[in-house]
Amino acid sequence: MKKNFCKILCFVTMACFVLVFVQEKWRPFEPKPLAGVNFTTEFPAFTLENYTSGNLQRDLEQYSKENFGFREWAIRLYNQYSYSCFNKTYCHFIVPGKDGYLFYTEAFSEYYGIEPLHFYKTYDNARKWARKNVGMMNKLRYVLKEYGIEFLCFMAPDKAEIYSEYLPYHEPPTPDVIHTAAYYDSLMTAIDFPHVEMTKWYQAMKDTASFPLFPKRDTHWRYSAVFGYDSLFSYMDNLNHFGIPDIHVNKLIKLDTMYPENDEQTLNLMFPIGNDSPKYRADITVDCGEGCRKPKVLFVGDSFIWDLETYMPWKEILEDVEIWFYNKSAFVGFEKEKHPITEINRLRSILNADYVVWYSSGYQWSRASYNFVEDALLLLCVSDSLFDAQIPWVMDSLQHDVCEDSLRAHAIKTLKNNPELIPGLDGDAMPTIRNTQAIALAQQANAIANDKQWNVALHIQASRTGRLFDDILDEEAENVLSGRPLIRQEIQVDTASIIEFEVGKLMDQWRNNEESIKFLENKAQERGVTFEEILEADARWVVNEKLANGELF
Amino acid sequence: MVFSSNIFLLYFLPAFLLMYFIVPCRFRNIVLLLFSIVFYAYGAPEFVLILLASTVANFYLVKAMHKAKTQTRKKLFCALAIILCLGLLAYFKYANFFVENLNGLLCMLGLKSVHWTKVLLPIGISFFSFQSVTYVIDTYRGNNEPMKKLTDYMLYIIMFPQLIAGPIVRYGDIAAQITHRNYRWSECLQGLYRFVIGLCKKVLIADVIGTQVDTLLAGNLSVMDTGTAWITIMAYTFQLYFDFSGYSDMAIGLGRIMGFSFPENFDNPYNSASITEFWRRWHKTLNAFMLNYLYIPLGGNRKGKGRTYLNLWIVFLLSGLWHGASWNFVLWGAYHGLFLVMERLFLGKWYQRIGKAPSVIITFIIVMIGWAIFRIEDLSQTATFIGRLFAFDFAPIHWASQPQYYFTLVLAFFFSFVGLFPFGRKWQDKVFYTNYSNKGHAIVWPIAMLLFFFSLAALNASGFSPFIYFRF
Repeated sequence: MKKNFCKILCFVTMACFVLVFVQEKWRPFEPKPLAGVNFTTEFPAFTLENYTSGNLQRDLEQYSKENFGFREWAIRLYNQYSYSCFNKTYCHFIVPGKDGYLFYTEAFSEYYGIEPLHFYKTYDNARKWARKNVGMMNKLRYVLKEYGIEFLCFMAPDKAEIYSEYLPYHEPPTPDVIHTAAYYDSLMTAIDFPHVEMTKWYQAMKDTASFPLFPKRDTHWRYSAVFGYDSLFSYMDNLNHFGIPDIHVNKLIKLDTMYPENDEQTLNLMFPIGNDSPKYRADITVDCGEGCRKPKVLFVGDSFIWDLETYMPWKEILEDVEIWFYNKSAFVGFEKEKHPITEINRLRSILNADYVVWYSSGYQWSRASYNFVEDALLLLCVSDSLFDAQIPWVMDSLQHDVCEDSLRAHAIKTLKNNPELIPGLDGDAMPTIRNTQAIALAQQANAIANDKQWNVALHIQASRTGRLFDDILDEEAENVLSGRPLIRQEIQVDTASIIEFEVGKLMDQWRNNEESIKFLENKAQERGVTFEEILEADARWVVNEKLANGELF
Repeated sequence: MVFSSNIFLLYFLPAFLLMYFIVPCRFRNIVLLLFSIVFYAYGAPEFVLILLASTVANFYLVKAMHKAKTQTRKKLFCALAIILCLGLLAYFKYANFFVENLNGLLCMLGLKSVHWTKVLLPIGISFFSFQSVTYVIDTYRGNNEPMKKLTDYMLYIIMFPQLIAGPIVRYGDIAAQITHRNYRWSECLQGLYRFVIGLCKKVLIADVIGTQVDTLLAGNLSVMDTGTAWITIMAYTFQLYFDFSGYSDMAIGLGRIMGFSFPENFDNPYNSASITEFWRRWHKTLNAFMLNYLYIPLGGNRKGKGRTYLNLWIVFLLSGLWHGASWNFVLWGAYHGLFLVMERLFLGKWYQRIGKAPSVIITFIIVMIGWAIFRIEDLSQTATFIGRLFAFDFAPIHWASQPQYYFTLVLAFFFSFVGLFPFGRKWQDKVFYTNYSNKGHAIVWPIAMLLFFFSLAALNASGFSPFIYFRF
């Protein structure tokens, strides 16, 4: 009897092992997928070299960690244990606070003043860099002002600063720590650099607001962002009396639904913490009376910008928008066409804006402007030939124990990170050099692009020749500047061709939008036509409506 | 391959068990040998041939020794076999250390240093070399007949559960089991439970403590306050115990699943009331080896007090050096040797006078300081750290900052000292050594499976699991 019972248990044990394997290969049970970014390792190929070097074994172990059966449950189980018993998470960017509050790790470090150490090693170094960065920002402001563009900073509040009483325990900081955002604020105030600092305002509002300023389990400000944007646009208008439409935030309306707990999902717990943050919607009216003009704004900054689209009627406030997310990806227009920043004509984007807003939440200030200020200064002030001329002496000043190519690459990187090394941008004085030719070309290109008929003519030329629109735009701008015959003169642009162009543009936009695809697919199914047919029909209808309302020209 | 890796737990072990129990009994040794070779070849591909070649050579040398007609020839083959075992150990483990020190000396004398390409250390060499030595000497002494089949001998040396981190199984203890052993399902299950206990010790206690210990010891030791220094070294003391004893439990458990009975390696070492007792409870198989193959041949305690102390000292110096080719290990061995001699001189009597509890506390403190020498390779840093232990520079301890670390420390403390009490001892005997009834299995099996899955979860969620004893 005992023998049989033990035998059965042994077989069940083996079956459990086999089940893990079966789950890995065929996934008969479908667990809830883990949230967050999962880096996946390819199943490693066997070669003698990677086997003897140990890389094969390392990759196999990693592959197994990422793919073994019931992985999702195992990870959720341990995360739940750590969270429930020790208020600890394995999501490296989330710090669990008291009473179910979640904070970003960097925001937590920023609150205690230790965040800059990750970037600058010492507090003194962090202060030195901050002073240098603000100096560079001021230079950029000076240059942009010449072209009628306002450059300003917007400092969004950190949840850790507003709800610090819910932060988890941390050893008291030493007296020499630096609160980067506050330090930048003081430096910008000292030189009258235009900036909007929202933390103090939010701290003051916290006790009287009838709604939480941040959701409990999201690091972003979400619905309360409308007060920040309202302040920002008022401030922008006050800077140069541009005539930005008046925004009235009437009230926040509590909705019946609960706020989606974005950050909680990344904790990958077995049991949800529970959702007790209601959702809000802002009741906003925008007045655009006499003398009102909508500005074109280039925002450069972090994820706090996205709530502008979600909670504000941004199309009623702005004429055009471009968002340079962490100065890495460019989201162009209200449709947010995404491009790597290196693939767009940055100088044109900058010069096309009425305002350039460097936009950042508190803890991101340790990362300065992700090199945006340096990049912009180089584009505006330094010609390619001047830049190339600086490379040899930077190479001379660097260590010579690397090969020529990597030394050159190092020199280029050094110059890009430190434009002050270039004569004319150095010292405390304002920049004395300009990239005149490139600026003239970019301004001319912008003028062409903003002319509807000319723009359509060049698009038609682009589709006829198979060349990129931007290349043709540059060529046309050069034609204008050098007095050569214009492409525009060769292309007949009439209302019909504009309509065709607009229809084609709209169809492309919808084809690249998942929601539009779903909507049109359903519609096509209902009407018994093909997707392409309904796509074209709808696009034509929209363009004709625009034409009828006088919005096309 | 380490036991606490996904590859071992989810693929190697199930595949091995499946094959092991599917084939008829007479082929099980072959299955075990093949899987053991794969196990070693997976973790140390560049050394597997050295391991196999040295094992084959040793087998035939011992065979020749056994067949030798004259005592001189016997001695010659015995010496050759021992030179082979210890020569490999000396070359791979100590050559770098020797050349580094020689070059240091030459540099001091203003002479040209010796050019040397660093040698990599094959994993587990300290363990399988010593096992080979026990085979040679036990056979030479006539305690056991040599193995008849090469594969049986290879199995004794290469068997994967104890190949890379012990326990050091003496040939005499296992010779009979290699050729004939009993298989019982109940033993299999109890082996599984023991394996899971070891895995939990490693993953849920040692690794959790280890992460924090590594962070603290990587910081600036000269500014560490006294309280933190003591907690850190206590944490390392527990980490090392739960890491190493966890591995031994896993090895013993695996052996039991396969029908082997490996010797125990630990017996509540931190409950010792003297360093002498500590060494009877800590890494018991190494100490048995040192006693039988070094201390007694050196004369043991048969040649007067002075020689006994010298022998003890030598044994512990070498025992320290066995742990690693570094001066801190030598110092650690000397430190323990010093206390052993002192206990024989006067300390032992004093311990008896003050009673068990204070003796246990004092011994624990001595052991902890010893582990500081063991852990911190740079001797100047060791001195700084020990200085901080006695600096009486106390600062508030922020328990709330690392709740899991402190909770695990409390757990480790409890499991380390529970054996001091009769109920704890009884409980340990019941868990580790009693044969379970059906009811017992019905209760323990689901707990073991849950703990296994939980350890697997911890292993994958936290991603930190190096074994400390691997490098020895």
